[in-house]
Amino acid sequence: MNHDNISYSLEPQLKKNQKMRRFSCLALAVGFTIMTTACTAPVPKDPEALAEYKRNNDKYEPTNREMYDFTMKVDKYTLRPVAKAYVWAVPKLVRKSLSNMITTMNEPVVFFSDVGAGKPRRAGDIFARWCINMVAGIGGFIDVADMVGYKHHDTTPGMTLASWGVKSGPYLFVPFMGPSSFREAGGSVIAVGLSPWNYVPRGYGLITFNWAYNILGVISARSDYLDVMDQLQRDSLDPYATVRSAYQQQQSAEIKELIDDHRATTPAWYVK
Amino acid sequence: MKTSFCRFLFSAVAVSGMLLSGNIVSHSPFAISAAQAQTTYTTPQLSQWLETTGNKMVAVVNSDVSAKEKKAKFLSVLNEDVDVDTIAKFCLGRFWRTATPDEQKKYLQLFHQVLINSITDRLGEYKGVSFNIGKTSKNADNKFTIETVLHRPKQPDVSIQWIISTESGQPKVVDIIGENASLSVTQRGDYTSFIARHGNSVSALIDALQRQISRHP
Repeated sequence: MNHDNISYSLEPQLKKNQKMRRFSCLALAVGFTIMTTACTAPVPKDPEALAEYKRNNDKYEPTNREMYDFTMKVDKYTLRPVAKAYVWAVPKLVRKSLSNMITTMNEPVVFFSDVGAGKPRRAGDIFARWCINMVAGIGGFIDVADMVGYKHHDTTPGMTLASWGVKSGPYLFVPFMGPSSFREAGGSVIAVGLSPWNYVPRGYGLITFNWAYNILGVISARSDYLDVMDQLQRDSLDPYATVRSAYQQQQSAEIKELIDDHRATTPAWYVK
Repeated sequence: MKTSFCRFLFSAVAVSGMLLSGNIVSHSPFAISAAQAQTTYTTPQLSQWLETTGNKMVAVVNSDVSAKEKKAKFLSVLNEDVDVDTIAKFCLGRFWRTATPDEQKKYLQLFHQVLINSITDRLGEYKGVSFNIGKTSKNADNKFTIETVLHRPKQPDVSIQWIISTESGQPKVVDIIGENASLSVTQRGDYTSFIARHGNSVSALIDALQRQISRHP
């Protein structure tokens, strides 16, 4: 009887997972179709221009630029005002707590990415952060772990793939998701699968939380960088190229940091 | 979605971090005169040099003089302690060679002004700043990297690396790396892409820089 009940309660969840997988596959298929049919920039013949073209790694530049312009236009009338209102209406302390909670909720993805990259100590630190913040930090609202020496770091599934030697593929500007690459975009799909919150069964009210969490995550992230984004739009002659360059540099530095991360596998207190 | 978005924004913040860091570098009245110039420096000496430079700059950032006065002070120090011309040339990339001598001269002048404007714009954000000097290391190309951490009141710390060259006989800042992105590499991406999209014309960049300066309050 009980067994039947369990089967019954799991059914919608399985359906949801199937739906999600279908949706991810569909999104990927559409994405790749767009990219394969997208306009590609002509390859320059001049050796120096060619070197620059290779450095930019932006084969689909014309399409990417369109995506960038479109995203920025929509952002101007939607996300930016919303983020401004959020900053205006919500006290800083509350915003900080919400931002901490969002970071904590994403720690499982970082944990699995670290495990995948073969960095047990990094993964361990994130696991410790998650445990400390979920308990002492009251569900992640206070970053207690940071206070006791477990600093936050970010590892994405895309970075894990990079540590395995997967090439980045051309640069991509994904609408509403920002700068990326084929590898990082694939990593984002994996991240959906790694996040436990996408497996929360229906009927628990937690689906609502999941939606609220995702929407809040976007608004909170946008609000953190209001001034920086405005500055970039104002000071840069070609903001698209500036974002691309900064993103690529930062991406390769973060991957290098992940690969070179050889933190001790035994905690300092144990060695003592 | 969220992670990618953060990533995008982090990249953007890197750019601003670098520009901000320009504030700090630009302003040291501490300069070694030509008579004292030496060709070899030890890492502790350079670390000491950056500390003195940084301290003087922080003093100006935190001083109560008018914005105009601060700008003037920064400009003179920028010329002394930062190799602005080298940075400017690097930022023009392959187009430096194709530019006419007149364009090169105009561009250099404008670059100085754009840099000082972006520095003075951000002085307010850095009120109450302090910094710590970390590791100094020698790079393969005979330049030095000095790591620093900037502490700003009520804002997260920023880690910045300074690339110092002693080729001219005295230490000069030739690049700044903030949050993993180099100021000059990012700026080069901006300028070269702009020129390439405007028929490979350096004069288009010069016009744009002029407009940018005239728009600046």
